[in-house]
Amino acid sequence: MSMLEAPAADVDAYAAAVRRALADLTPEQVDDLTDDLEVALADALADDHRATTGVGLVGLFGTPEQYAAELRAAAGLAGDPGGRRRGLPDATTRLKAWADGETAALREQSWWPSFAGFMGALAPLWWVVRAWGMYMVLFGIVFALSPRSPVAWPFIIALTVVSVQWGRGRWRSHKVARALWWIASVATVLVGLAWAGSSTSGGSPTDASYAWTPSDDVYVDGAPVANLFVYDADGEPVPNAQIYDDKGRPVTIGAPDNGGWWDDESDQWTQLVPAVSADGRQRWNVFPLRESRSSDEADEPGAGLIVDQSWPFAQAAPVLVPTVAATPAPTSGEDRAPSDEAASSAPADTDPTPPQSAPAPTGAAATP
Amino acid sequence: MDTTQLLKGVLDVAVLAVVSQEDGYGYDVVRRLRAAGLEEVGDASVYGTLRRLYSSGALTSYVVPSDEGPHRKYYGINAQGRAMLDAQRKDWQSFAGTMSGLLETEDAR
Repeated sequence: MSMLEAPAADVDAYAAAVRRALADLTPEQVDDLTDDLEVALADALADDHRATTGVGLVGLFGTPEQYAAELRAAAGLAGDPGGRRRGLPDATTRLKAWADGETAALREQSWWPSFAGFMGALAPLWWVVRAWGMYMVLFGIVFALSPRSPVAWPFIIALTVVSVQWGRGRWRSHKVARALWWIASVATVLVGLAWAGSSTSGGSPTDASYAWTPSDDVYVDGAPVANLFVYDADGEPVPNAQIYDDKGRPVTIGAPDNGGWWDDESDQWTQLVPAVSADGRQRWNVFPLRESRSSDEADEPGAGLIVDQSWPFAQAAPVLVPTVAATPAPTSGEDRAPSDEAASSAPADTDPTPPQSAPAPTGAAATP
Repeated sequence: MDTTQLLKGVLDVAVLAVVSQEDGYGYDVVRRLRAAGLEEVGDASVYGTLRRLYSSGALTSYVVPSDEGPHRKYYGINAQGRAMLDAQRKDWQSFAGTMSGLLETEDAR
């Protein structure tokens, strides 16, 4: 009997793995097949007539899965993983068989049953994580329903109950439950893949929102701006200001794309009109953009009456600008502004190579 | 020849025969089958067979408490099991005789 105690942990782990491999049967069937499994395993290990030393349970009986398959086949219980099911489950069976084959060497190690037992003990944690993941994919991504919202809690609880009951093998014998589970699993995988795909195409999950709004709009307070008005440090309006970003790209507000609109006040078809460079290119980064008004939607922007948009203020409040300590003192805008030639030599909408220094009228670009 | 394949077909009658000699618990039946010469019998196959024969009504089952070791579930044969054993024994003897005759004839040629 001394042999009974030493490998008790291994026996328990092995028996647990066998029960897991039988989890598609009803709990009653599993109990019936394995109620004295530990005793039987210990008996075999303790048998002096068998070469048990050093081989361990896996050496003696094969993997727990093989043992379970033999047990269920001899007991004549349907539910042989390859036999009864069809279609998708069949595919998972093949996948499992492939994985079994790949890990066969591992499973024959003497430490495997202990390891499998340890992992098996973590199964309830996985059930909860699975429910959470399913919630995040099905409700979080599809319906953008935050798990913090009380509305979400019943769904989370329901999914957790289903996942845990499923993990315990309680509801698997119901056809409807199996069908629902497969639908949910497939939906989760598909939505997850679609989400992962959109994320990776955007570079990272946080870029995903930009992927949906690829226009060049400038946003203020979450809404795209309709026009830009430049004032200098004294608060004086700067009409026809060319605006570039730090890389010398023209800043536009997506105006070419938004066509036009009916202006209710004037009851006229209104379109934004770009400036034009010397070589005839449209320059949408010259602000404020002017409006063209006409009575007919079909008119080209230039065909209507060109009007100035009214400035938000006649004069803005003057500001004090931190002076740049050492070198180049702010120069007058004219000297550094991209010459018309330089700007027009490059396509307006792509990446031109205009001057490295933006036409900042003051040293505003320098950080204090 | 793959004797494990042959064994599959006759495991029922082998288990019935062992249990009919004397009641036994799971591993006890395995040990007696091995001692009788069926060295390759799989433990799980025997346990599964015992469960199936019990479910089909050919065996009885009872638990024997033990002071020193774990409680053990014993299996015994009943009237239905005996009838099954007799029928299968006849089948086997007939089949074995046929096969023996066939193989002897092959030998003689």
